[in-house]
Formats: sequence, structure tokens, C-alpha cells
Amino acid sequence: MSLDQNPLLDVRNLDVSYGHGAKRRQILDGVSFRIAPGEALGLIGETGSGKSTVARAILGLVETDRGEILVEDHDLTTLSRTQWREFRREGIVQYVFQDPLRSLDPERTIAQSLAEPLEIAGALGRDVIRERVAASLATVALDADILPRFPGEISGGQRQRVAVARALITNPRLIILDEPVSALDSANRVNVIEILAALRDSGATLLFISHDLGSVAGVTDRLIVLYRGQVVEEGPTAEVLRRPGHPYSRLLVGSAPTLRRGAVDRAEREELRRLLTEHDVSSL
Amino acid sequence: MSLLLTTETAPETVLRVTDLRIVNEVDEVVLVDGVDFELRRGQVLGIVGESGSGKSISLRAVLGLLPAGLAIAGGTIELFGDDTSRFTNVDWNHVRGSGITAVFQDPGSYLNPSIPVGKQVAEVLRVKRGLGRRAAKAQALTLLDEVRIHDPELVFRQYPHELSGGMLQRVLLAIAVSLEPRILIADEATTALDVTVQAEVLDLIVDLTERHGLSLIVVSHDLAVVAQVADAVVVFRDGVIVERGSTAQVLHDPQHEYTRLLVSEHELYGLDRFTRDVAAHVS
Amino acid sequence: MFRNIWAIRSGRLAILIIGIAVLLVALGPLLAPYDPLEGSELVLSGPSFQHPLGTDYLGRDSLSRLLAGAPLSIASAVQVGVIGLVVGAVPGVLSVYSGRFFEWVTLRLIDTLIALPFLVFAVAVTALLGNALTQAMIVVGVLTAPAFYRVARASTLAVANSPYVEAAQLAGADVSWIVRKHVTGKVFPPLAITLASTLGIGLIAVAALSFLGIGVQPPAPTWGGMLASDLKYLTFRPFAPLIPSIPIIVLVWAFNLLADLIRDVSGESGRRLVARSRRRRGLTSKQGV
Repeated sequence: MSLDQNPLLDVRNLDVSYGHGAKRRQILDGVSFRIAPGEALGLIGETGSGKSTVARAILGLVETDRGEILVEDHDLTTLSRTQWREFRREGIVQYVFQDPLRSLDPERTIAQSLAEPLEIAGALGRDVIRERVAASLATVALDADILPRFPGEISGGQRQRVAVARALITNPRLIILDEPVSALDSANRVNVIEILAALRDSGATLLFISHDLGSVAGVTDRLIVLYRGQVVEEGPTAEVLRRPGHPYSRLLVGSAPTLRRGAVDRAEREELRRLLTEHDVSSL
Repeated sequence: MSLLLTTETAPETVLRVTDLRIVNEVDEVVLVDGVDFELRRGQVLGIVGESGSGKSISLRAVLGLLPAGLAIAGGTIELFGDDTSRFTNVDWNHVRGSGITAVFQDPGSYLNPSIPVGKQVAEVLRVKRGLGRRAAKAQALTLLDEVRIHDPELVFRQYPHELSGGMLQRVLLAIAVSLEPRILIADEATTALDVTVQAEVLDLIVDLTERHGLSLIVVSHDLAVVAQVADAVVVFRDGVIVERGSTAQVLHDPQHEYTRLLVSEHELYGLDRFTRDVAAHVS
Repeated sequence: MFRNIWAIRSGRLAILIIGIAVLLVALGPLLAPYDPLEGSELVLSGPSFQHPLGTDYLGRDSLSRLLAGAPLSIASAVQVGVIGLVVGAVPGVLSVYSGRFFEWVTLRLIDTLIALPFLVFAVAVTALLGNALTQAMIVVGVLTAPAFYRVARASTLAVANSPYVEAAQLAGADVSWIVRKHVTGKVFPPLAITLASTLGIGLIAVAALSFLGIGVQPPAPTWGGMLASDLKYLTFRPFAPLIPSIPIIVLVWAFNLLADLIRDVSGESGRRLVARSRRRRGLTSKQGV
């Protein structure tokens, strides 16, 4: 990964808050990070870290107070409603939802759901769309017999693969995945993780958002750890997982269950917890 | 491989399940088909399996809490040496709480949302131990402290909706150990919690186990959760047990392909790719 | 949807009955053997070869009056349903997407309409605006609008907040696309159900109003009017009230059955039901609607 290249996604000093006056809560505080083209970045955080808000800010679903979000040459924080619609129709940034069952319309067939982004964009003819839909199945290892079916008739693993196929169909530059395997059982998890790894290998730029270190460890090049709206650690995946620096990342990595004993033991976990409750995040 | 030691000094078997068969009476589907496992005093047994593998149903049978429509169609369950098929309601009431107890996945749904949590802990003590109101409250506060709740007095008065998942699970653990049981079952008890909270609650469960001399059954779909704490592991798949052995054995030399899939998932794509092989988990 | 309902046995019965009703509306007066207004000296007679349903107190053939009265009653019922649908459903769907003010205004209007008892109000309106059936039916129609509004709004709200609509928005869809592709499919079945049962209500409303003498003046034949006049001569022709009542009952029953069936064949469970029904009839499986 080369830092000299222009980053595909450049988030600078992002501030997002919610509510007014006394009830105002700061969700994100000065969040900055970049993703280079072809890189897979993992954004790790627990409940209350603000990780979902980062995704929603990039997708334009939430208002930002301060900061810039640059995708190629567009500053997304400055887009009007109409400009957002145009930007979205270009399909440059795509999103895979956490829950495969509810992200597909139960009353429309898989074929219809897959074609939807292209139909909304309105630039391609019906035959070309049909071809693209058929081609998209190949990347996620699904058969064409799934096309006339409805979401309720296929398995959870198949649904999530359809969701990934739909995200790929506009040839996006950046794909954001929110907990892509959390809702799946073991066999399906491995399948989907393998597909995502293949995607990464083929040069796609991915942003994984998860609380589960285990599910992103195998597919990401770099990791960012988010704690209470701030970035507390950043670095190559292997580094962050083997030698986490910030107390919170140490606690996080040390808490994730592993088959073999990790570097952080119980006594240290207790110590880290104590440290985190007693001190303000930014001072650590 | 049998878990039974043959020496005289082997700790007693507190739970023995032999050839258990459970059937759905409505559509006659066999949900659990001939399952054997046992738990010895002071031991930590890990049960691994997906939802639908039969693990939770087997444990509900052990607790005498099979849902309507399901029935034990064969095999025996011996709790502290007694055959539970002969238990009456009175016997079950007696053994639940002070003999065997459990915590499950979604803590909020096991607490009454309209009663402060402290009162719910105290209620168990009053009903089962006959303690008076003040004594029960004092004991409840001690228990809340024992489960590492920082401000027991405050939490005592709070309602379930005011507390996080991790806190609620601690409250349930407080209730679970309040009657000094001999067996504790933790069925996906940490699954719905954040990672750091999971570790906290798991650490707490192990702590309580050691302090109270409990025998523990930890159930999870994640082999790693079980690997962290269990001495012996049993793997459920589609209603049968496909693998059993000490934790070290199952992790290093899995026999069944399903177990191998579970292990490889962690080693290829999970954190184990990055953790140094510090020391294999020793039983 | 039509094909799916036909696939189920009870659906065919409902469609048959309603089909006959439609025929009656179109051809009723032409099928009448006698002029419904023409009296005769054969007064208050029972069923006979010349008069299969007998004659009323003025010697008019009951069968002819029944057939002649059909279009009015059934058409009025349809009028009520259609007015209710348009006045209710359209604002219902729009209330979700047209801003807070519109939402507030329509909700309050609908609340007001619900509070009004429709027969009493219909009578009051005819007192104000003149004794015409159309006026009264429009009023009844508007008063049934709340049901359509509620149903349309609830279905739209359920869809509007779902992840798959958010997914469409993220692909750049505008409100029109979302309403067309995602909302209408979900809104149609509940609206169809409401429409079917409203047709039954409309039929009973028109019968009730004409029974009270509102709308149509004698001697024009209406089912409600027939019932009113027949009641006075009950001792002479005790079966007479059954003549208009049975068609009303059968039609209302058919409408409600249709409503149930639309509900049953909609959605996922509906697809399974239709597939099972087709299999039982030995048809090859088709790829859904």
C-alpha cells in the first residue's frame, strides 16, 4: 500500500453530534483516516464507539458538524440533496447491510433486487442490465436459479452473498461493509469471508466496520480502533493485533476469544479496565 | 474417548446424560439423537454447536424445562446421582436454584421490566431461603458487589431498561449464585455482548466458579469462547455429538471435519492467525 | 393476484358470485320479464309460473323489481368503495412523504371523519342538500375514507423505515421510485381487503338509506325500498322480505370472502398457500406471480 498515491477515501477531522443544548451528545470527535485504492481497512469499535456513524456520515445519512469526507474529488460534506442523489446513482460508494434478511425487499425477486441500482441510475438498457445481473452472481458463487426466487426462500448465507453482489453491480470504487458476517453461522461465515478475501485480492477497496475482531482479522490490511468517538489506534492489521499500543486496543485485542492464549492475560485486562474508567480517553 | 477416570479418587459425577433422545411430538422430528456427556465436580465442560444443533435443547432437558411439544423419548439424565425422569414438580423446585442453575443469552428477557433489579435478586432469597426483607436486601447487595457491580446501592434501585447488557448479565449471575448451586450452566451467556464486556463476564463466571466450587457448563457457537475456559469439550452437530475430548486434544487434533472447520475458521481468518503460540491451553 | 385467487377453491366461488352481480348490473333491467313499474290486479301473490317471486302490494312483479333494482344498489356500493379508496388511500400514502404539515392536517381530518356516524350523517346531509341518492352515497364514501387512509399510511410507514428502502435511497432512488417499486406492492393487498369489505358496507348503507326512503323516490325499485314496503304486508306475504335480503346477504358475504382471500394469497405465506393449492389440483408449478 503506497501512501504517495491519492487516497480513495480521506476523512479529515470529522465531528458529529446529536441533539441540542443540554442533551447534546458528541458521537465523533476529530476522526481522521484514509484508505488507499485497493486497500482493505477495518474499523473496529464497540457499542457507543461511533463506528456506525462513520459509515452513515460517508453515505450521507447523517449530518456532520465539522470536517471533510473526500472520495476521489468529491467532498461529500458539501453535497446538496440533489447532488447526493446524482452521486449515489453513479454508484461510486456502495454499502452492505448487516442484516441480509431485511436489506432485500421480501416482495421482489432476487433478480429485481440485483437490478435495482442499475435501473435507478437509468443509464443502461434492459438487456445490458440483465447481463450484468447474471455476471454479478459469478463473483459470489451463486447459481442463476436463484434469480426468480424471493428472499424468504433462500438461506441466510445466500442472502448475504446476494447483498454483496448487489453492492458490486455498479462497479463501485469503495465498498463499506457493516458487520457482514455477524448474523451468519460458521459454515456461511467462512464462505462469505472467503468471497470478501477474494474481492480484496482482486483490487477492490473495502471498509469493514465491526465489533468482532475475528471476522475482520483475515481480510483487512490495516485496522483503526475507535473508542468513544475517537481514533485511538491505527496501523497494519498484524501490528495492531500482535502489539496493540493504546490501553483500549490492548483490552479489545486481549478480550477477543482465541483458541490459543493471547498476549494479554486476565490480570492485565483488569488493570486496563481500571485504567480506562479512571482516565479520559485522549490523555492515554 | 471416555471422560471417566478409573481411579478411586476421581471427583464425583454431578451430571450424567446417557443416550438422550428428544423428539418434537407434533411433527415427530428427532431433535437430539443419542447424546452422552457428563460433568464432574469442579470441572468446566464446554459445549460447542450452532443454533439447531441440539445443545440448548439437551440442556433444557437437564433443567427439566423442555418447551411444550418436545419430549424426552429415550435415555437418562442423572443429576447428583438421581434419575430426573422420576422427579416431581416439588423435586424440580428443590433442585433448581440450589442444585443446578443457568444464565442464558438475552439477559433483559429474564428480568421483570417493571421491578427494580435489586428487588428481583432479593425476591429469590426471600422465596427460597425464607429471609426477611432487610436480610434479603443486605444479602442481595453483597451479591451485587460480588459480581463486580461498582455501586450496588444505586444499581439495586435501577430498572432493567436502565442497565447495559453486561450489567444485566451480572445481575442474573448474582441471582444464579445466590442459592449456592453446585452446577452453573452458561448458555451463550456472553454472545450478545460487546467484546470487552464478553471477556469481563466470562472472567467473572470463571471467578465465581472457582470461588464457590461450582461445576460449570459453558455453551457457545464459538469454539474460542469455550477454549478459553473449559477443561473438556463436546461438539454438537445436527442433534448428535461429533467430537469429544479434553480441550487440548480437540484443538490440536480434531477428528471430525466439522470441528476441523471450526478450528480452521479461527486459524485462517480469525485472530489466531496473529497470536503467537504462547502455550497451548492446558486442561 | 386474480390468478392466485382463482387457484383456491373458495376463491372461485366468491368470484362467481361477484361475476353474477356484475352481470346483473349490466343486464338486470333487460332481463326483467315485466316492467317493474307496471302494476296489475294480481296483488300480493305468492310464487307462480308467471311470477316466480310473486307480486307486491301494487301487483308489480317482484322478480322484475329485484333485477331492476340491482344496478342501483350494486353501483352505489361500488361508488362508496371507490370514493373511499381515492379520498383515503392517496392522502394516506402521501402523508408519509409530503412533509409534517400535510401529515398533521390529514391526520386531524381523518380523526374528525371517524367520529361521525355515517348513516345519521348521510340522512342529515340529504336533509341539507336534497333528497338524492348520489349525494348520500358520496357522503358515505367519504366517511369510509378513514379506513383506507389508516391502512395506506400504516403500510407505507412500515415500508418507509425498512433497510431495503434505505438501500434503494443509497442507490439514488427518489420518492417516486420508492413509492412505485416498494410501497405500492405492499399497500395493494391491505387496500384491496379494505375495498372488498367496504363494498359490503356500501351495499348495506344504500339498502338502509333506501329503506328509510332517502334517495330514491317510489315507485323506482330499490332493494331497500322493496324491503320497506314488503314489511307492511308481512301477514299476507311472509317470505317477501327474503327476496331483497338474500341477494344482499349473499353479495356482502361474497365481498368479505374475497377480502379474506386477497389477504390469504398475499405475501410469503400467500405464495405457499397458492403453491399448495395448485399442487393439490395437479397443476405444474409456475414461477409465482
